[in-house]
Amino acid sequence: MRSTKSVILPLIGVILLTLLCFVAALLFGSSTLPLSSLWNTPDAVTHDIFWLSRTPHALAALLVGGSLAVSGNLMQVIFRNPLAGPSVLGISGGASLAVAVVVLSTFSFLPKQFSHSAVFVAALLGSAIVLFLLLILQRRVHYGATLLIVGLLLSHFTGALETVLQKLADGQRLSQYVFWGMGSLDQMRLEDTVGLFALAVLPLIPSYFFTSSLNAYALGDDVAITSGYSVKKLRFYTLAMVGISVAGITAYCGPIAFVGLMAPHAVRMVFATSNQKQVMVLVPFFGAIVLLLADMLSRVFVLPLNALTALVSIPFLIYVLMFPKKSGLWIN
Amino acid sequence: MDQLIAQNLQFAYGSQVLLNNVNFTFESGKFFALEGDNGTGKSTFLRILVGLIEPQQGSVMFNNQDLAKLSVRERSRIMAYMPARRELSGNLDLETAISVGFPSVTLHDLDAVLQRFELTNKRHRLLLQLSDGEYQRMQLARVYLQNTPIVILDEPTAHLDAKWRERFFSEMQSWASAQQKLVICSSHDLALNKVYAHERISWPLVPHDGIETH
Repeated sequence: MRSTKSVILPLIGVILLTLLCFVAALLFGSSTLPLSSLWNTPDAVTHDIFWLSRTPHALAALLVGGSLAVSGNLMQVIFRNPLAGPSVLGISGGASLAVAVVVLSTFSFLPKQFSHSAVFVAALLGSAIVLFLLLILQRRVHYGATLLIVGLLLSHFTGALETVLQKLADGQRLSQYVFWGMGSLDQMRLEDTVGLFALAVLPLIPSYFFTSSLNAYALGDDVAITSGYSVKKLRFYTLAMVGISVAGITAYCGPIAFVGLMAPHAVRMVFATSNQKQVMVLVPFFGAIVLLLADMLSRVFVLPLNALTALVSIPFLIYVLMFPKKSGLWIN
Repeated sequence: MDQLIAQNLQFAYGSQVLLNNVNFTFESGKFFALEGDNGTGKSTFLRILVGLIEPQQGSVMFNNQDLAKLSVRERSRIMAYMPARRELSGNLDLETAISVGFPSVTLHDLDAVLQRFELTNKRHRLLLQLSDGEYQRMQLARVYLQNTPIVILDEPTAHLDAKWRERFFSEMQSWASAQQKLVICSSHDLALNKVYAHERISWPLVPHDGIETH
C-alpha cells in the first residue's frame, strides 16, 4: 500500500541541510578557509589543510554520523527502548576493552606508537565476542528489554576490566589509549574513507529491506509473529548488522557517543513519524548533520568530540523525556 | 469444512499444570466463546493454538496439517490473532499500524476498514495517543484485514464500551456465519457470549482419553 504521507519533501530538505553542514565543515576549523578553496586551493598550506584534514574529517563525519544514526534507530526499534544506542549494548564496550588489551598491555611485540591496524583488528574481535554472546543470549531471551539490560551489564563489565588494565598500564600507553577512548575523527586519512564506508555503511544497507518487518515489530512480538514476521530472525540479523558497523566505526574513530541515540529522536520529533519506511530514510542525514557540526565545533574550539556530542545531545534528550507526547516518545 | 484440532495438549509452568491432555476439535463456520476464571490457562491455550508457545506434548492440526511444521509466514495465512495485552512499545501512526504486514491492502481497503471501525479521524494519530478501546479497535481492524480462515482473539472486548462490545460480538458472529470462518474468542462477557456465540466452552476442559470433549 502507498503511504499517504510522502517523505520526498523532508528528504530534499535534510539533504540540502546536510550539504550545507558538509561545506561548513570543510571551511571552518582551527583556521577559516575562504569559500573559494572549494574549487581552488591557493597555496600548499591551504591545500594540505583542505585535503589532509578537512575533507577526511567531513567525509568521516558524514559516514560515521549516518551509520551511527541508523544503528541507533535499529537498536531503539529492536530493544523497544528509546534509550538504546550503539554504545549501550556493550558492543563498543567490547571493542574498547579489546583495544585496551592491545594498547595497554605490556607485551612488547607492538611498537609504542600503536598501529592503526592492530587497533582495528582488536576492535573487531572485541565487538565480535560481545556480539556473539548477545546472539547466543537472544535465543534464550523472549523480551527485548532483557537483552538491553544484559547489554548494559556487559558494558559495565568491560568498563571495569578496562579500568583494571588502565591501572596496570604505563604512562605513555595510557595517554595514547585515553586519547583514542575520547573518540575523534583526527586519525582519519582520505584513503581510510573507503574502508570506513565498507565497514560502517555497507553492513547496514540490508536493513533497508526490512522496514515493514520493523514496523510490524513495533506492534509487539505476538502481533508481529502472527502477522507472518519471524521476530527472532529479525533480531538476529539486525544485531549482526549493527554490531559490524559499530565495530568498524569504533576501530577507526574510537567510541563516539550520543549521535546514534539522539538522531532517531530528532527525526521522530521533527517529522512526527515512527514509520520506519520514513524514519530509515531520514535518520542517516540527521546523524550526519549532528556529527558534522559537533566535529566542526570541536575543531574550532579545540574540544574533545565526545564532549560536544554529549553537550548538544543531553539537553535535547532531557527535553524529549520531559515532553514525550510532543516528541513522539514511548516508554515501556 | 476446515477443522482446527487440539491433540493431547500438555503444558505446565513449573509445577502448575495448565493444560492436561487437552483434546478439542473446532470447526469452521462457528464462533466459539471460551469462558473461565483468570489464571487457569485460557490465554496459554489460545497462544498454543496460534503457535506462539510450543506445547510440551501434543500438537495442533489444521485439517491434516501439523501447524508446528509450517513457517511463521505460512501460519499467518491460516490464523490471525489478537492478544489481550496492549503493547506500549513502539509508536506508529494508526494507519501504518493497521496495514503493516498486508502488502496487498489498497488505500481503498484501508479507508473502508478505518470507516468500519470508526477510526478515520484518528488515522494519523500515534498509537500512544489512542485510548485502550481505540487500540482494541485498531487490533480488530488488523485481524479483519489479515482475512484468514481462522481468527483467535484473547479477551478482545476488555476495554470497550457497551456499544463497541456488542459491535465486536456481532462482527465475530458474522465472520463465522456469513464468511464461514472459525472464530475462537476468550471472553468474560457471559451475557454476550450467550447471545452471539455458536458454542460456549467452559474452561478448563475436562480431560478425556484422547477423544474429543464435545
